[in-house]
Amino acid sequence: MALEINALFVAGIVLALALRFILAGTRWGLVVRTVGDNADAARALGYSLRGVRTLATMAGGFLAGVGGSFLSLYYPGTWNEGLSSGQGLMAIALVIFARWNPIHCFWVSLLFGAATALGPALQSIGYTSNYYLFNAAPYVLTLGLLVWSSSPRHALLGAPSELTISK
Amino acid sequence: MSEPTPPLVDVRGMTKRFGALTALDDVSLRLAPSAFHAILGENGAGKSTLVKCMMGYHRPDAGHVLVDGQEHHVGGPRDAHRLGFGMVYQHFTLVPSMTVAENLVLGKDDLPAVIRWDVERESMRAFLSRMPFRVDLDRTVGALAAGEKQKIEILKQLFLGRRVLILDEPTSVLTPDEADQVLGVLGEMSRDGRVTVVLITHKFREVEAFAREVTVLRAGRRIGGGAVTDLTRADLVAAPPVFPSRRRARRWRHRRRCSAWRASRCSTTGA
Repeated sequence: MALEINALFVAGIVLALALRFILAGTRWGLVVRTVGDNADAARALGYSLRGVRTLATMAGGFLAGVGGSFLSLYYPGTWNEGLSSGQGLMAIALVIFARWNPIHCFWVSLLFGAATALGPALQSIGYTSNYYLFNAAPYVLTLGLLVWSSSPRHALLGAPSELTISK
Repeated sequence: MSEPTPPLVDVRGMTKRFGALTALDDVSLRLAPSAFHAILGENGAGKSTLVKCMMGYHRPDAGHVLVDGQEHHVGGPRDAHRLGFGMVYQHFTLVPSMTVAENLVLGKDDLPAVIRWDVERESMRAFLSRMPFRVDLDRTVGALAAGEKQKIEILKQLFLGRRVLILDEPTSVLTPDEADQVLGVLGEMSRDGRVTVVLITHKFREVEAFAREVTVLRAGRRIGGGAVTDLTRADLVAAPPVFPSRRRARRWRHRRRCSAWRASRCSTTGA
């Protein structure tokens, strides 16, 4: 079959749309963004920083777990040591590049997926030279994006300002 | 469209102790509807403690708040909000990555789980049409200048239906021009009978230019005040500081004599 789509791919699209709605249009979303962006404001409004952050981290951990289940259940479908091979870091670079917007995250994750598929795809059509180089494509992309986005000239629009070590 | 007029607020005998330190000692304050009242004092004079007691951030050891003649228990900021009290801080409490509209909605005490943006925007537009200055609801707050941000802080309080605005040194992060603009808007709104303004400051200039009444605090006590037009700058500073010990008081008197002596010498050599 040429086009095999996993249920988690559809779940990803639905999640991106749902997160977009939650962050922009619900009280919970606004509170999470406030806590991430201006702790003083959240405190003045009477929200518990620790509570919101704990819940948000738990929700993030849950979603990361769903992502991880994709690796062991579907791609490659077996479990072995170091299964994620750095894709967690890639996910962080992806969010920065997508400017913290769930819809952009979806498109950028397609880009990263394509970069990851480059090596195996070329191999499957019989092009085997520079095999390891093509397999490194997603890591090169990650590195490039991190270098680009950490440059002081590119203002990190949309980055939560509480998420910093220079404060 | 009619707006509720600000209430008559009576703060009586507020006292707040932190351990052995009495930060606020039996301070009373009367705010007529749509007054512009300045609270003047040095650092540590108890200005912030007083308003934090009013806003329910601190639980006072004695004293109470009367609103329109009725005693109210202020157990927390939400109680204060219900009475129509709103606070604007020295540092911004706006969320920089959000738009002006999102920031205005965020402060609602009864923010619904799902926000009806069409309804909210309609009420915001109706509200803004009655305000003396224009703002773009879709601008991201982080991109605005400090003066604009402080105006939006004030706007937010008004949008949330607060009629007694307490501003804790709102101009300390502003340029003098921006400060005049922001205070000018507040002065205009209090003259129109829309809000009561309580301005905490240590700048005489702001008191003289904008406030109509003043309360002077020092070391937690009320040491003076009244209508600004009846007072001279000397009245505002004349009362001697309250010293923790006699030795400190002697040192202060000595320094004052020294500086008077130096000043007299300067004027003779200059002539």
